Amino acid sequence: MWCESRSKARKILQKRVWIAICFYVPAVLGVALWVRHHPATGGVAFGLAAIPALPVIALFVAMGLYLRDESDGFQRDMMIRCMLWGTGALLTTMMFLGFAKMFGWRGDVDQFTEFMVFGVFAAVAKLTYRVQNRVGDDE
Amino acid sequence: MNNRLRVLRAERGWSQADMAERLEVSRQSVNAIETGKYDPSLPLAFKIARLFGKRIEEIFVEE
Repeated sequence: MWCESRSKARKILQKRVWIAICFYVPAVLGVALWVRHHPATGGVAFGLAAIPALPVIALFVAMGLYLRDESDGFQRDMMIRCMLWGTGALLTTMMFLGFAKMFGWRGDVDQFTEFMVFGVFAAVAKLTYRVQNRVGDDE
Repeated sequence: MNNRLRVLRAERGWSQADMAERLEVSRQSVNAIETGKYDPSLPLAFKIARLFGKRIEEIFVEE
């Protein structure tokens, strides 16, 4: 029921996602450690901050390439829907927090909350669509 | 959009997995098309028509 054959494009996507994650983790840890021991300011700080963002860009490039290469329209449709859910939730959260601050809220949210919001909503959407479109035993 | 995929597939004794393999799509896609949850793209509709040796309008029926 839950096993689905993966297309060639999906396999390539998974490989690319893993590669991006493999770069992301050391990038985050490396930059955090570096800044702790060598506090950076100005352009250097911006440059260091950009390093962990590069694998995220790579992640979205990988998704874009997947959408281009996936010949199974239904699977492509599902991926687009999940990304839309994640993006919608992300923009809504940012908009809400922006207005809350504008109206005088002094609180703060953890760093990278937006990234978590995107990931969680995209994952929940994927799970929901998977349940909705589950296939029974083959006839 | 309604379709006769399940009937045509059953006539040939194919499983959804067989058909998915022939069409080079996932079984989930075949199931979604059969149950009317997803309308296939035009190239896939032509591919399905070719697979069954029929015209598109003989397989897919507008509601």
